[in-house]
Amino acid sequence: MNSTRAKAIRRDARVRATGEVRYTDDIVVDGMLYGVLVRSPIAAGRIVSIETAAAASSPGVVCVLTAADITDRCFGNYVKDQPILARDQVRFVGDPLAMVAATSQSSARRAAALVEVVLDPLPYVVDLALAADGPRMVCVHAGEDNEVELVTIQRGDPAGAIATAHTTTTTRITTQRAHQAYLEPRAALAIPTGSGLSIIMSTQQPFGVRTAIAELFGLPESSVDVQVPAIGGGFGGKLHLGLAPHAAAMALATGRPVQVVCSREEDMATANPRENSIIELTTAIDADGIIRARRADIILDAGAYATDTPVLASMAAFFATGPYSIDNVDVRARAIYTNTCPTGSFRGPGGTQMVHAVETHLDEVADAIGLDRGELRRRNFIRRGQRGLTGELMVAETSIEECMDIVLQRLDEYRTSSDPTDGRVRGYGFACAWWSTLGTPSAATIEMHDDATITLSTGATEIGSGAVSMGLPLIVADVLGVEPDAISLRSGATNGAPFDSGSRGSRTMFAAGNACVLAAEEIARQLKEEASLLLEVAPADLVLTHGRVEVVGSPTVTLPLSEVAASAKGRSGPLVASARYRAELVPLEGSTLHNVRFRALGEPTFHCHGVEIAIDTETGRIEVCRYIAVHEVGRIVNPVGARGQVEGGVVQGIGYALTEHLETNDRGEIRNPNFVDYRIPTILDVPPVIETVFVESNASPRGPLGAKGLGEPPILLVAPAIGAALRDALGRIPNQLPFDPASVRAIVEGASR
Amino acid sequence: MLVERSLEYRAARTVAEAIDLLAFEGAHVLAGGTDIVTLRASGALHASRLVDVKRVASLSDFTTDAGAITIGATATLDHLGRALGPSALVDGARLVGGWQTRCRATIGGNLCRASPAGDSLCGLLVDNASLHLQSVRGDRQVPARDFFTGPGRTVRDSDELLVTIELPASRGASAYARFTYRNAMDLAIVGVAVRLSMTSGVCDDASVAIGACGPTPMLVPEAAAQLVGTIVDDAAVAAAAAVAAAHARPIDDVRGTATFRRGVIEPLAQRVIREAHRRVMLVEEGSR
Amino acid sequence: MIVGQPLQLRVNGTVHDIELEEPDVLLIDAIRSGCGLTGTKLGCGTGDCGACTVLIDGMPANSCLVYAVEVVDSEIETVEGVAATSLGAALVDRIVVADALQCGFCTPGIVVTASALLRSVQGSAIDDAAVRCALAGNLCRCTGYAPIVAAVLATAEVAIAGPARGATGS
Repeated sequence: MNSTRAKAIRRDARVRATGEVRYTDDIVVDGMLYGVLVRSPIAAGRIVSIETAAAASSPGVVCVLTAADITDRCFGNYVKDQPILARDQVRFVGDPLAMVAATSQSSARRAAALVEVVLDPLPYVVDLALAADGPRMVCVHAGEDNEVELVTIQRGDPAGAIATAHTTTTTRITTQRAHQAYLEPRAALAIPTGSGLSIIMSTQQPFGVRTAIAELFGLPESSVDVQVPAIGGGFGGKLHLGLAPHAAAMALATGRPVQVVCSREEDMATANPRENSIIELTTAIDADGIIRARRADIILDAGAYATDTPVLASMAAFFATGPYSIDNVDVRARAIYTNTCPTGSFRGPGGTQMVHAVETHLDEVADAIGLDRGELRRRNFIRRGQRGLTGELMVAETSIEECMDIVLQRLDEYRTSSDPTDGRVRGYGFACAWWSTLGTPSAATIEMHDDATITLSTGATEIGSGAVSMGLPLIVADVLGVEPDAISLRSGATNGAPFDSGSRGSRTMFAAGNACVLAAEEIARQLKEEASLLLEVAPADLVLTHGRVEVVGSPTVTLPLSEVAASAKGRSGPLVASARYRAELVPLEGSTLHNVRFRALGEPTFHCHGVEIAIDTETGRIEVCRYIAVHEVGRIVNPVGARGQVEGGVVQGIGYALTEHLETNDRGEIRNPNFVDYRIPTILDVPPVIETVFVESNASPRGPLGAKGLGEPPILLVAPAIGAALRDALGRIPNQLPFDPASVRAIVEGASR
Repeated sequence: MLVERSLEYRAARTVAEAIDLLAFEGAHVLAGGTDIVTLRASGALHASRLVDVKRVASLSDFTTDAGAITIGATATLDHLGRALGPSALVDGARLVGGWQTRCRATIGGNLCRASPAGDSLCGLLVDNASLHLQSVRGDRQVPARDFFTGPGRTVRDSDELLVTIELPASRGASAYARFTYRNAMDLAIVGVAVRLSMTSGVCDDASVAIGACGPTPMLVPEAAAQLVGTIVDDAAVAAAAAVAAAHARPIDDVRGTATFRRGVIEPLAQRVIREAHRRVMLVEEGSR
Repeated sequence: MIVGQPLQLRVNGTVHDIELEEPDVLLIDAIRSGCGLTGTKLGCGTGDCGACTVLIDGMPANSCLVYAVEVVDSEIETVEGVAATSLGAALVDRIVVADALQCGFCTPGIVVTASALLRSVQGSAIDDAAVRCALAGNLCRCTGYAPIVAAVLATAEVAIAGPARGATGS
């Protein structure tokens, strides 16, 4: 099948390229109103009054809502702390206070500006360190501690190991907020139905939205459906409810469809960016370069509401060791409220800053004991039969060393083939990581029709990676021995397919793929059962290949699938199968876990990236010259799509490492809510070639066709690899991200003094 | 915040019609629109009448006369970047925004927007450009060096139309470069333009301008003076760049701190002087 | 022009009568709502992403930075028109084959800008640098850009060699 896979073309690519495909903002339904939110201009304040009369009488306005007009239930993935509209108090610049539904977008905007809000400013805190450990003068939620979540992981005797170690090294790193910067701003359209609501929305997690909207508005889950048109990028930023509660509340109030579409500025200032963080790591190491203990203290900025930062705190804690065997561990991770925009998942959530911190720290440890950076890693890589920090047993070979060796060899070639004539300093660096593949629930239904064409129904969401539109049909085609074209795909609506946990955690190909494999295997069983009656051969002696059922060893004894399918329907019923999947929970041993929501990798994947950079030491500007990305993610089902995930993730990582910083000022306002000052890489800012290597020696025994997940890992290693290259060139690096020219220049000047 | 309701759009076909339409309280010139649309949407600019001058055919002309160049105010940056040989002005025009922006944005609009970081402005300063303004009250020539009065502010009155930009014939060559965090789609953190003319390998005239280093782009004659009379060797380049940096009065903003800007202006100025020198030597060689 | 009077826009060779609520309706809104052509996408509204790129008299422009009234005398081409030309169709083919899109939200703008580039070189060779320079105003957050460059260069080769050359779409 591999040649088919290499040539396979995404079925939804053409309509996306020509603009025919519809995104949420492209959909207009009869009687539709346009919703606009009125948001808080200050970081914290008591609501004195909201005067809506002028707005309500403005032309085109159908309704104006405040908290008094809607449910007082709050929403949140883990902590139900977020109201649809602020009720007594606002907690961040951008907290919604009121909303207007009108017959046109411009009427709604005009009316929104007429809503008069009187706020009595309250003390606020926007600085993460102050909110976490400062004198507790300011509570973001009155009377509550700012600590949203406390996670701890303990293993062995870290205090003892640190006390007796040969060398102890501590590294403190702060990382910035980064916006997902999907090109399509968030959008939602809510349509009242007789009994409930239909939501059309750019979301990565339609079933999660269905559950939450039903709960929020007291509707049966079966009377809410969520449809996902094309999604213009998400990267974790569209896992949340977004504007759905607001559209839904206005739709219920007016009895009419209401669409809410963010402006770019609103999206940049009020969506859920990657959390900024403060990370302190301590490692105790022996003279022979064996790591004895790791201590980690991690603080994540949740912003004003928790969203999914509780699980991100667990993920940050989990990734405090990396792919290394460390017997003594003491990890504490906290998510902390501040009066800033709520943060949340962004590709590799909780882990991206941790991989950077851990790898940067290891480079400092290596330098402290005078050991080669690769050699330090080699001596400490976790191996089969060892346990990770939560007590998870490595049941399969760990392939991290194989990945690193490929990168180290390539970096040697870069070094010897570089001929810098432009006056810039070259640096070479690499970083290693492990990551997980989320095995959360999914289900699929497959029907084979009389002509042997197939309908595959999946609740999985096509985020743009091709995992659904290309990957799942390839998997089903492989099991049933048909061409992918024979499969028509039904996805993107909660009422058209069974449950799936959403596009997140690098899981779609793996978990939705496994549900597809199980359903396809049942169809195969049904086909063989019928064919065995027709051919008078035992089912075990039959194979499905090239659209036919064949007798093993007698390829001339064969039936077309269409004949078998039609015959089966008449004899025992139509060919149809549903299957469900949930990865087995992993047993853990020997660690003490508190509040750990992310407990095991389940399906570990291994990764190493290497980079050559050029540093303009006069201006501090870094350019990424050459890049190699090596990933071990089991077998590659969709080579073209996999390469796309790597290249796209690396470029996002370059942005995170060098130029992307969503800045909050001391009043809690976002300083750069636009695409000119929030700088994602342009086509002129990326290396001409990103070499992508997949190590396929370690196929997953549990993944569909041996596959594991790949969506997130490529972003994880870019900042630490660039950091290592910077250290290679300058001897030390800034202790905060991004490596912007000012901070690099400060390092150069410090070094020359 | 709101776009005012009583907005009138008028498209002029001739300069005379345009200046008539501009003689009106609240009238504002609309050229490429790449700044005006966002400025109006954000409430930073109010206009009750937009006078579109893109259809005034003569306004986009280029003419050359014995080495002097007259550029119509609505020539697009894309057109400018392709039509003229390398110079500080052309370097700047090619750096603005993306291709989409350069195809709409005009040189006159870039000038009248008067952003301290405007990429074409330093080039016009070192090229000693003269701006021709016309209104129903008459017309006047303003040297580019006297045109800018502050961020977004110029000596142009609201009823005046910038008609042409005249670049006098001159020997030598010029160059512009800026420092940005990305290679495209950024606004200058700092920018430097330099013009040099050389006789027998010795600089006989020089001009240095810096952008995003104060409320307006500005000439730094003290920096230029470090180059005149030298062979533009390393010492002269370093001295001129240091003086240019010393005259910078940058501010802290979201694009960079004043300290960082001051630090970058010096190496940037050195590079631009060297590029101008490289170009002028090519011209000299060509003329031999 | 007078508010309330329909505005005539020539888009992809067809004249559309657009009712303007206000004189400062943006071209992108006129195209999307007035003409019903939703291939043109609103990504930022400030000219910083290129998702709304259209051709105005053959030259690329961000339709979020143009008032509709400014272009009544112009030929507008959107992605729908561009993709229907032989050159545009060849480019779409190469984008699909090169897997040069993921979410696809930026892709129509890239198709439009790249078509303008390919037409402007009229079948002569272009290099990687020319493609990157032309597309610097089109942000893509998914692909990392490499397959986009490859797709445009591959289309240029076809345009030089093949019958798609010279497509103008007007």
